[in-house]
This record gives sequence, structure tokens and C-alpha cells, in this order.
Amino acid sequence: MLIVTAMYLYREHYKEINMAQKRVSFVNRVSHELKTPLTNIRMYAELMADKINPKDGLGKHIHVITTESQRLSRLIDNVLNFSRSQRERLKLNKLKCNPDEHLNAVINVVEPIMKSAGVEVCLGKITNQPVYLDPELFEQIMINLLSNAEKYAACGKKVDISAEIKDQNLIIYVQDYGPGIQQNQSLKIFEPFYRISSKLTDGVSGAGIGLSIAKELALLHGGNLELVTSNLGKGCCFKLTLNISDPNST
Amino acid sequence: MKVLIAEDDQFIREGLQELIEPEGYQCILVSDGEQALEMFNAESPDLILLDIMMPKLDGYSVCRSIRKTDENVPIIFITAKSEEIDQVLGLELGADDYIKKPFGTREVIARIRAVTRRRLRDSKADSTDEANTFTMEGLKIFCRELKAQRNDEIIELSLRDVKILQYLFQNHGKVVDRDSLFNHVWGRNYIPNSRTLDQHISQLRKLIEIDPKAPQIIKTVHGVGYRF
Repeated sequence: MLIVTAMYLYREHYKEINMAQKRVSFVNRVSHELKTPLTNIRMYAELMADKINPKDGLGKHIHVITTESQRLSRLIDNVLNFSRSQRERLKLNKLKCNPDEHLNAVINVVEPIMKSAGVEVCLGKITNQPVYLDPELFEQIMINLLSNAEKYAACGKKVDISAEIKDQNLIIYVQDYGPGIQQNQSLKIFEPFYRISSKLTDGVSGAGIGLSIAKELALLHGGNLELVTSNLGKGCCFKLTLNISDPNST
Repeated sequence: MKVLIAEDDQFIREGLQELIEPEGYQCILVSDGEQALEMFNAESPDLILLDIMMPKLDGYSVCRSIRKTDENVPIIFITAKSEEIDQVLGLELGADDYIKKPFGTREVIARIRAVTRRRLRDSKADSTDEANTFTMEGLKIFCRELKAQRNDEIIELSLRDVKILQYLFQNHGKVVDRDSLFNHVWGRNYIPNSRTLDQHISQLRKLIEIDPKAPQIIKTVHGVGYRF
């Protein structure tokens, strides 16, 4: 009887793993298939933009197509990263680099979308020194955090970013002035596919994986991503910690 | 310079052509890996844009075959899978660069210019330094670098911009008629739109002239052409 039960449980477990792998593979295929039409949308919109006056009405319409296609490609990258992380652990690739430069690069990328949403991104205190960091992971985390602020805290009109180095960690604070998050949801927001439902957030597009991926990447980088303060109606502050020790030193 | 574009999606292929040709390249379009090898052997392109997922023969196999006979021709992979990049660079296939889908037009131009610069630098034996670096009204042109410099300002140029400036410099003081300039820069096989040359010169003036409305480098000779 025991053997039969064990065999049944093993078979069920195997079936579940198999199903999960199929789901991940399906997501991967769909995401890759999306990239070809997305390439065409972005490329042809940019080709068209070069031929017209950017100030006329058509220019604005094309600008929306290009920025939205860029937003869609970030979303696809998130889905792919998420599905990759389900299959295998992502690898950390630390390089000596200046975090301020990468913060500025991220701000340049998100600025058009933030501006359209009426949000100003302000970079305050910066580190001014090179550290050991995985720049791609860092940028992905910051893009996800700022994209989160654009979606859920645009009514606050402003996002403040500051950076500092403490011990062997790079610490980034991202403060928004949106509706804030209730205390009982402060941990749930990092769960995959979890989305807060309220009058202010219903209708906001997204898969609910941005913060979950950002936290996972921060943990992979020997750090963490936490919601440190949240006042309802006044906004919230995320604290990103990344370990910046030299990977070659023991 | 000839660019071989091997990509199975027709719209991406044609969009890349529309993007790259104004830079001064002649594009050869193919839709599968076998055609890519045939056209590589027949046309000897100066640069190859190679999609990975293609019918008949994938991009990796095309790259391997090309590298057996030509170690130098620059190959830029176009990939939809970010994981593939590791393979492209890690398997020592000999690719020079890669572009991830969905790409922006500026990124494509920047990568093609970078590869072209390397290609031109490596072909030093082809021409003298004097022909490759010259000055026009205080603007120093570095042909192999695809750039110009005025005081501290660096101006990025396309291959076509450089060809125009080189031709005008070689004919300093003389009027260059529109047909000669067109044939020299675009090639005799190109069927021009009557505005193509004027539009290009207008864009180039915005880049290199101190006052594009009162040009000192590319002067218009009404009814005939241009003069430096």
C-alpha cells in the first residue's frame, strides 16, 4: 500500500514539474514570437518619425507608438527573465562600473514615458565612485521600480532617487508621492502576479511581475528590495540594497 | 560598400534596407540561410547582417561556413533570444557584434557605423593618409573614422556623407554637376528620386556647416550642382 501511494505521489509530482516546464516553454515561445512584429512596429515608426516634422500632430502620434513599443519590449524582457528564473538561476556578472552612469542611463530610457504620465524623475544624492555591480541586472531593477512608480504613483507627479554606499553595499532609495501601499500588502507586492486592486490602480496595465523580478534580481546580487516606508495618500519609498564587493577578492 | 541582409521576415528585411541605404550602402536581401551563402560567394559583401532563426540553414551554420573562407568580413547577428547572445559570442563563431530584437533604428546605425570604421581602418593599404584626412573650411574630415571635427566638436558622419565630402574636396574650386555627384556617391544603378540628392545635402549641411542657411563648405551652383 505504501509503495503504491509513494508511486502515485511521485507520478503526480513529476506530472506537475512537466506541466510547469511546458508552461515556461510556452511563455518563452510566445515572447520570442512577439519580438518580430514588435521589431517592425518600432522600426517603421522610427523610420516614419525621421521623415516628418516632430512638432506636428502626426509626430506626437508616432512618438506614442515608439515609446509604447519600447514599453512592450521591456514587458517581454520581464516575462522572459521571469520564465528563465523558473528554469535556472540567473548568473551574476559583476563588473567595475559607476552606478551613477547607469542610473542616468535608466532615467534617459524611462524619461519619455514618465513625462507623458506627468511624472518628474529627480536624481538627488549620487555615489560618485566605481563599484562592482552587474550593470544589466541593476538597470533592469531600476527600470522595473520606475515603471512601477509610473503606473501606480503618477498622481504624485514626482519620483526622487538617491544613492549611497554603506559598508559593502550600494543603497538606492526610490521615493514616490502616490497613493501609498497598505501595511498588510507591503510583502505581497513582491509576490509574482500579485496586483493591488483599488480605485486608483484598477485599469493599470501590467502582468504583476515587475517588483517580483526586481526583488529576485536584488537577492541574486546579494542584497534586497524592500518597501521601507508607506503612508497612505502620501506615497512610498523602496530601498534597494546591492552587494558591491569585488567578486575576485575572497 | 555592400551589405548582405539575411532575414526571413520580409518587413524587417525591407525596413533594414530602407534604414541602411541612405547611409551609403548597397543592400543585398535574402530570406534564408542557403541564399545567404550563395549571395556571399557571388557578391563578396563588405558587411553581413545575419538573422539566427532562418529557414533551410540557420545563422550559426551560415556564419561557420563563411568563416571557413573569410575570417575578416564583419558579421552582425540579429537575434530575438537574449540567451542566444552568449552562444553567438561564446561559441567563437567569429561574429563581430549582435543586435537584439526589437531594435531601435539608431542602435542599428551606430553598430553598422562602428563595424564600418573597423573595416575601413583595417583597409589602410588601399589609400593614402592624405586622401583619408583633409580639411574643408576649418572642418577636419577623417574618412576612415566616419567623423569630422571642428575645434572640440566631433561630428559623426555616414559613409555617404564622407563620399560626398571626399568628392567635393577632390574637385575643389570646380562645379560638380548633380549627375556626376549622384553617380559617384549613389552609383550608376541607383534610380534617383529628384529630391534625394538635395535632401541629403540639406541634412549634411545641418551637420557640418556653422550656418546651414549660408553654407561655406557645400555651396549651391544654381541649375548645375554644388561646389567647394
